Amino acid sequence: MFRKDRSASYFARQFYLDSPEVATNRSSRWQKFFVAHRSGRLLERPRVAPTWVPHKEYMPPMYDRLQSKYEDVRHEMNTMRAKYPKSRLIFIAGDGLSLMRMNHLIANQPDVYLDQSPAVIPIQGELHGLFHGMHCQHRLYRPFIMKCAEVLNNPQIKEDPGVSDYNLHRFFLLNIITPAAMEYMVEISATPGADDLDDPGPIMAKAAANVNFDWLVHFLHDCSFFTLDFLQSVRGNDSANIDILWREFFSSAHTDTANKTQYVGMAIMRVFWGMGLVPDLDALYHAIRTIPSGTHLGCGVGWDWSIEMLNGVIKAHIGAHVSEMQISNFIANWACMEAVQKNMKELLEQNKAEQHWRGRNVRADIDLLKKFFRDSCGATWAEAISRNVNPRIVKTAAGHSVKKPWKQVEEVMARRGVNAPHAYIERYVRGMSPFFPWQP
Amino acid sequence: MAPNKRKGRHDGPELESVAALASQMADQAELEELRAFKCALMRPTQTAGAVFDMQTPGDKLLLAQAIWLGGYNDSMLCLREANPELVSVINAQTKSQYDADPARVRRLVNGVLLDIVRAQNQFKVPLVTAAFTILSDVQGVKHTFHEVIRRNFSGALMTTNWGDGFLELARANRPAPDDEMLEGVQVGVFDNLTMKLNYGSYVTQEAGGEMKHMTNWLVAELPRKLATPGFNAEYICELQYI
Repeated sequence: MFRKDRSASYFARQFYLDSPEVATNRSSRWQKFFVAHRSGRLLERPRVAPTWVPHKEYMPPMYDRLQSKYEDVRHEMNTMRAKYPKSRLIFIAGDGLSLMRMNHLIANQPDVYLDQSPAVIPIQGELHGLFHGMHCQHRLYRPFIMKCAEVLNNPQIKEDPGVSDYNLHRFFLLNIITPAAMEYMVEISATPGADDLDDPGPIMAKAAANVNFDWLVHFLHDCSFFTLDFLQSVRGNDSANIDILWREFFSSAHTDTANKTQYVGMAIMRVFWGMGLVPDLDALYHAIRTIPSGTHLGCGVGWDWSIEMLNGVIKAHIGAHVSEMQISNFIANWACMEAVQKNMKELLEQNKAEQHWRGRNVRADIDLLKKFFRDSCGATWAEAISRNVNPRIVKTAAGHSVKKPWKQVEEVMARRGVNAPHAYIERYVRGMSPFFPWQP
Repeated sequence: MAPNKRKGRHDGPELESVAALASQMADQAELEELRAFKCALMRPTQTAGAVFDMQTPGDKLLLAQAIWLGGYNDSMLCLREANPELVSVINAQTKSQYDADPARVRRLVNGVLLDIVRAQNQFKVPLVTAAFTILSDVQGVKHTFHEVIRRNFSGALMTTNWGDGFLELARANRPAPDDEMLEGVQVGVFDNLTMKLNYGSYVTQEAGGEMKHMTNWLVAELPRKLATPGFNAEYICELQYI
């Protein structure tokens, strides 16, 4: 099932930011998103129609099992495999912790998990993947994001959000700060002497003179557009692009500030599985990278979305007197309930335009942030690229300086010797894939 | 003496009688039309595949399958089209300033139609009523409120007991997927969940609360069309690709 023409050294070098695919994507998405912004389509779902309808079967829970122990994950993997004893392959999806454990179990016992049927191919749930991608950037750009939250007097935004805070923080990032920053960029690009907004290179070079503008431009380029690109790639099942984004993710996640130690390894392994399978299997792996959540355009979601939804409704539905029987019965009925809930949308939401989330007055927040950007970066292009070393756009603790995220990334990627990124990645992927026939 | 208006007209008496006859015929036609309309209005509603008879085992199974497939909106369209006289009366009776919103008018008419269908025969269950009953369960609607709505608007909801039994039937009669499935390849998804069992703000007896740990999971088969033509999992797993 594995290719024999892959080189670990070549694989490891794909994670640098100047790797052609990563660099091209970072540059082209800047242009793509500004074009979409100008036409008012920035946050629209990709116009990709789902090609299949998942036929999900919810199984009775495995009680007294979690994912924090290898023994539990081994039991869970074997239970799933036992469901299909005659099958040759089973893709298994889970959240970060379970995926990491699956990767280790496969590496330690390939004779069990790869040589015996059904062989396991781990797939990362991209709902968790997207959160951790965003979380990584949130940690790096925390001084800027928290300053924006302070300007808007929004106490809901946390210094270090958890998975349960995902929706709120994604909304703040993509529906408020990002449009505000983009509108500000469009505004000053109409003033005399402005550079072409479609080309990020010269803009970033000139922005370096003004610490505030530098933060804003890098925030868009590295943090905001990374997250939006990831979200849209999941929605449109653009599996190849998701792998490019995981490669880009490495450089940020490997910094001390982001400190995504588990997800660094998972990102490497996700890319590994995306390039290591024989062509027919590889095509299937990428075709099912995400799962349609409905019938509308751009409705792709990570595989872990369905099970997260189930857990959410169990908690919401089963109240005070929880019993195993109640939970099992609810789960047995859930597939039908889920189908009815989905089918009822056509009846309940007839002629209903897609509404803005939470009914928050987004426009007022965007306008306030734009004013803040004008005040801190400059109201014209000339002001924005003028020398300024006084950081007003970030939240700093008294007497402390803030390290620029892009400088941290540069330092990480400039490491040499055994700590060089490619050396680290090669060591890691070889250690986790003893079963793989790497090219000498 | 008043002048005779018909005086001097060659076709006077004949024309008058023809006109009278025509008027009489029109009245008769209108009367017949009205009688037919009344007759149509007074008959039980025509249910046209949108409503299922729970006393007929075959119908019950059909409903248990239809609930999975959707088309709820279309079923209401069928119900409206099958009962044009009733719909025209409801339309006339509910005419208001909101007529400009056709979707709103349709919803109003649908609601009244569902109530009438259920009021006429308690064994007849519209697809949409069954769906609302399940949705009420999904949304965790309080039992007392569910009952109040059901008693006052019988077209909206069935009893929760009926819903529980119906879900069991629906589970057993889930339609097979439309797609041809890929052999030898499946997907499993899992995630953990921890819930508090029997926790309270105080403990009156020796028994306290406990945490219930579990891993929930689902499986899915994959449509063959997602794989390359000739995809063979057995062969792939033996393949040493160069």
